[in-house]
Amino acid sequence: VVGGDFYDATELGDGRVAIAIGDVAGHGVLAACASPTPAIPRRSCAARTAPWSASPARSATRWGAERARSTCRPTSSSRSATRCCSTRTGWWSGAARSSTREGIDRLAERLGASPPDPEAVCEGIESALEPGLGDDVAILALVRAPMADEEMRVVVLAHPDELADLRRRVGAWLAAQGAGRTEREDVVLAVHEAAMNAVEHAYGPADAELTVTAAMRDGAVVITVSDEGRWREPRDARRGRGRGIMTAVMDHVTIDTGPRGSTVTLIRRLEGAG
Amino acid sequence: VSGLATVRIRERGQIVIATVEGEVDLSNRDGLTTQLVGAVANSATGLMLDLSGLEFMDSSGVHMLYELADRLATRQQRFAVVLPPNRPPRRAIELSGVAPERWLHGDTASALAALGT
Repeated sequence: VVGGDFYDATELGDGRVAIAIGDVAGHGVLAACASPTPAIPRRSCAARTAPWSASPARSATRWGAERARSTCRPTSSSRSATRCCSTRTGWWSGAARSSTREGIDRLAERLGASPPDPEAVCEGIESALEPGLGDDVAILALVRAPMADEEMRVVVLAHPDELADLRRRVGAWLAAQGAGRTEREDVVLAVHEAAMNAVEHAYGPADAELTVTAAMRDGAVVITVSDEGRWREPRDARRGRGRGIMTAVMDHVTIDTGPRGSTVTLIRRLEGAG
Repeated sequence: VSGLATVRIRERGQIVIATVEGEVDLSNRDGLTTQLVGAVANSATGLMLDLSGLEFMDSSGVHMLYELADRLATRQQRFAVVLPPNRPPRRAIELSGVAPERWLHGDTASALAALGT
């Protein structure tokens, strides 16, 4: 397969990873030959490349296992050589457009709604692209996968729209610790309920934050959900089901309320399997 | 589409069938409640809410189901929820410590029978 577009990812050996992506304007053999950086081993976008993964052993705890996956699909495949030259301007303006603040915001919005799966991220971005950008579209998605025994700390705004992302991050972390499917679903639900309580009683002005930490201690997950407000026992019995859910799925649930905020601590031993 | 959830609504005779997929949580439960209540005309005899394909539902979603049951009961319309055992939302209902509700069904056939079709 002849193709000029490429991507590459290389471990730098000190816990950092270098990522490159190249998109050659135009099509055909000439464009492929004009592709830069012939010296580095590159992964052609023309073929759907297998995911690249840094070895966790070498990439140290700071990065964890990185997974990169590329998807490149021609948005229009029938272009003549002359047309190629004229689309060059279009390509540059397209690239410039996508680098504007507005473009970045839209990208962040898309990513926020996507599960942490490279394939889904690429498809999500691709479906959001304006038609007629003028050239092939190359997207490189890099997912930072949590490592076993790695501790996690997530800070999110105390807002209902933040809860879905929190669930995905906790779910991915639990999977890395070897939690089974039911264990993940149960613990994610409990964390969500604790976070939701804080969100529902969002305190004072906007932009209050929630902090979630997760760690493994002697085969058990220990997750804390902290806010800057006060834990409220729900007055309406029906709204109080969150507390029941937490106690039902976790081995231990403690709620500490202090003058500077509340911390819910959730502990459950993992069995794995499933 | 209601935030994290995709809603499909169709009619089968006098029954409104609403299929909700995706996730239901605090961010979209109010919008979803409004959408579902609005989909059931006064002439309809009942609502079947198919949650078989729902991946996640929190306690605010469980609360939504009770609210829908109450609202439809006031309008003398029947209500049935389809949620097979072992689906995460079913577990959320069971874990929230309430007795099994008569509007909760494991499959479509049982729900439709309860709605009198």
